[in-house]
Amino acid sequence: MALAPARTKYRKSQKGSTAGNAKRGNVLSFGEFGLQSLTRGPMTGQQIEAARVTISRHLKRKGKLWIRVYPHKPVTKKPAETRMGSGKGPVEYYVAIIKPGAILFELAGVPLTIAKEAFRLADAKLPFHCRFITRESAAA
Amino acid sequence: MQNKLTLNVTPRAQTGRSASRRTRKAGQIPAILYGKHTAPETLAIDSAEFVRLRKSVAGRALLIELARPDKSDRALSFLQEIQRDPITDRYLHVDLHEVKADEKFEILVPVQTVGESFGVKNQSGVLEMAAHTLRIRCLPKDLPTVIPVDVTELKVGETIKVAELKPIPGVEFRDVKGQPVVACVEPVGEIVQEVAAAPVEGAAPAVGADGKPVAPAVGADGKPVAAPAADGKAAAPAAGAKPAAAPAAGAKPAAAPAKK
Repeated sequence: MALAPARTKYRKSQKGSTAGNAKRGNVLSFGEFGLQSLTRGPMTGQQIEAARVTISRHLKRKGKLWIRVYPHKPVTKKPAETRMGSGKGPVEYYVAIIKPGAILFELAGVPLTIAKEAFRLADAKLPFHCRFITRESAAA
Repeated sequence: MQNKLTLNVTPRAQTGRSASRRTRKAGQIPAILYGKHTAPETLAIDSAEFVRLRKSVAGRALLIELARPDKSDRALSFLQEIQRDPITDRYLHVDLHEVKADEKFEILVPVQTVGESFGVKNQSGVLEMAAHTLRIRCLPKDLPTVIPVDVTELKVGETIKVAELKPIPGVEFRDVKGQPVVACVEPVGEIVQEVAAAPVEGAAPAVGADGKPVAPAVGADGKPVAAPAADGKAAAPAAGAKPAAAPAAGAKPAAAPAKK
């Protein structure tokens, strides 16, 4: 099941802008390793879930994973074969707006090689260029 | 007493965004030195030299002696804050906090675990760092580079708190005594949902409104959100209805008939 808010204040939202870099959530806060996005775009709840499952399966019940992004933004879509007009379509899915620098996942309690491979596999599920970062690389 | 590092700094006359950008373009990092007893002083640090210094510091808490061309005495300081570009990792600005050799000061010191936890070794637990740094108060001569935390006896479900840390001579912990530092927790493994999600014979498979199969209902923590019912009468999330049907009360149903 894709991630989606349990309840929202407003059902639909405007498209908004994805300009600029991530000003918050751009440093490692919890774990030893992280996956940082280098490009921008919407990340759907399904993509977050797909990446999470990939990481969890590679870790084999070891380590601890933090998901640093959440799909708060609703995206609407008009039904197929519908004439234009008649208002905005229904909400189809939810996305998280990712900007360059945003930390998507954090990991702790596993060796570097396993964390690197888990994030490499998760990166393949995502529509961004990402990079692997460590707490040590951030300190040096 | 730890060894001190030396850093050459030059005074910087101009301040502000434009001047700082010019400074960075010239291969230097804008910096500031401040302290309890001195007026703030704007400085510039050679970028390459600062990178070398950071590598030698290697995440430890160390004091740095600042060599200034216009002053004969060397200011004793520590790295209060470092601003970096999150994408390029370029250093943007450095805050240096001046301290006196005979005066206590507060500083954040990294925590370093010692040994392998019993819970990790024998109970398949995961060592979780609740605090990567701790705030301490001490004299410059007593400053530890790291705070060692012995975790060899730590079992799954146990936590080492600030009050339980081994005292270091001349060092006073400033964090709340009950604050956890290191914990050994059970691993949060993925609960495989393939069996639950497999369609039951004779029942309609779990498909979304768009006709595509729906992924198993798993929460962010790997636990099932809601068990999918075989008759398809389950709540909207598990049955695979569009997200619009789940959230706001009073929302229009997602699968409203389209006007043609």
